[in-house]
Amino acid sequence: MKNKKTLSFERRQARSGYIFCLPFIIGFILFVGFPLIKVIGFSFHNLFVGTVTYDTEFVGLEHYNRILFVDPDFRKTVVSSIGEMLFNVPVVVMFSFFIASLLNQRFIGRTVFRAILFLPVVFASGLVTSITSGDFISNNMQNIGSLSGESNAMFAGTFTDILLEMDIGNGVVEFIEDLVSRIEDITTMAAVPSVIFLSGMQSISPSVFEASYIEGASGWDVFWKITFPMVSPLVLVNIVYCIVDSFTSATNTAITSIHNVLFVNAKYGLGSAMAIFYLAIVGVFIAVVFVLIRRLVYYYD
Amino acid sequence: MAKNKEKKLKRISRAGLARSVGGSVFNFLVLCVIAAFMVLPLLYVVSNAFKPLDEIFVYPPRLYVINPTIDNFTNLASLMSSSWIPFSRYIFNSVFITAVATFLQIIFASMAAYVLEKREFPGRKIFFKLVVTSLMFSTAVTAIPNYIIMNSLGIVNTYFALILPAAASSMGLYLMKQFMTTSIPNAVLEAARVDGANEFLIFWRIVMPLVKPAWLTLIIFAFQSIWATTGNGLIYSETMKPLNYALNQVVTGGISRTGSAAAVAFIMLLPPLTVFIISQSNILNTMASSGIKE
Repeated sequence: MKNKKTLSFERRQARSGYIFCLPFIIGFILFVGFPLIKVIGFSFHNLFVGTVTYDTEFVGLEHYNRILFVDPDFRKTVVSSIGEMLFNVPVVVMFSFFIASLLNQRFIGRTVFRAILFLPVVFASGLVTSITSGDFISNNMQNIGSLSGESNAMFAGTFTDILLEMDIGNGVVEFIEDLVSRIEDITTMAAVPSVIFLSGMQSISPSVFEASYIEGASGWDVFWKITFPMVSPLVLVNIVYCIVDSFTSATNTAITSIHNVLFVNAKYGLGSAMAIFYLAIVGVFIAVVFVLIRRLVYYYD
Repeated sequence: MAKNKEKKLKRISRAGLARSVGGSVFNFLVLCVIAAFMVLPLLYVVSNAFKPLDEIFVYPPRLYVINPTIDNFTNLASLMSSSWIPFSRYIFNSVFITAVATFLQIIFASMAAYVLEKREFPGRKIFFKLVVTSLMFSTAVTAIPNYIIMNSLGIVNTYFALILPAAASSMGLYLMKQFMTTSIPNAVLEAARVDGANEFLIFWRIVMPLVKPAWLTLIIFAFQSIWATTGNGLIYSETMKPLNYALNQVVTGGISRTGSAAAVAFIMLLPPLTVFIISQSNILNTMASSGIKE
């Protein structure tokens, strides 16, 4: 009797699970799954797109062969975008964690700062960036950039001297200089991860903090022994988000070259193969990160 | 209850904030510097929209206006009134598409995220892995197969061509699921079930209010990405095209349209900014109270 009851409960659970997922699954299969399979198919073909229909010609692994062994550029592009990612992701994740923990404090004007933090997300909408990067205004924007670049350079000059005096190695100095010059990009990329961190920090139950303060923990202890472990699952989330963001952003060199092959050169088969190859590499990175970091993550339940 | 909690929060924060004045000032300054980087572009777009032409071309560029004018907007208005589709039609298209698509995306993503996170059923792990895999794919790559699908569904050149793909957003599902891990205690769901609530009731009356900060955040992402679509290649009838497309035509006019382009940038920024401000103020109110007492 008892056994039967649990079974029916599980059945009910499964049924409601499928019903709730159904709309998403249909959309997912139609607009994500099916196109993906199509692209994989295209990558083994040459595609001739006509006015009404398209013809395919099977070429086997030729496109992959070309990417891996013939084409001198694409491999380099992929390597450089991986380098970019390896530089960006740790910096952005740490920076956003830092911002989120600052914004999690109580201080005057916190509401305003939180709103401002989120502005780059709003600002990133297509047309605004196309205007600010397309024509005269973009030159102006770049001028602003170069103006701040000049002051940056002045600042960086003295700053670099100081760093070199400190004798901490040229590599480190270059790294720090690079960071300073990219601060604009980094703050923009950090917007979504910091919101994710912040909401994670906000959802920690106050009673946990209260208990630890009563036990005599200092703010430092609480931060590293409670706040940090509690949001550690979100570290993983954010790393994945940042890797994806860095690899698929429209300014990514690999994406732009794939885009060119697809729509400027209209070589759809080759472009699909490039995309699949690139996807495989991104996938490998994310899998590695998952395996490495999952052990360190603490799940509270 | 709420009062008690507030008091408790206050007490905790007092205990936790045993920070020196210098520390607080330092925090504040760091935030100011970061905030400056984020505000400058916005300030530039806003001030540009109100600059007379000679000021737009000033070098080095200024972040402020000396003689504010609305010429850019009147120019834009006269440009738009000469198009053979009424301007309001473009606005309606954009608002309709964005509103419906955002709504569907939030609902579908939350429903799927809820069961993926809180229910056991066969296939859920594989499905979630597929979703995560699809995150890594740039939409540009699937443009042609997407078109093939839409064509066979017969939704090319309808609003659905823009609405339906946006409704199944992998990123939305992924973010919602992560938010749900931390903010829905199983005890509440069990209590509701014991009291006889069915799944839809639990979802609508318990889960959604609990993750309000999450979907408010998602609304911002969804709104701004859908608002930015031009519908190129999917919508041919002029009467169905979104505002973004129409305004893009103005911008491509070149140097002589720089003033109007500045106004366009400002106008396009307004709706996402408004949505952002509204939902952001709600997030701030709910974030602190989304956890229950254990």
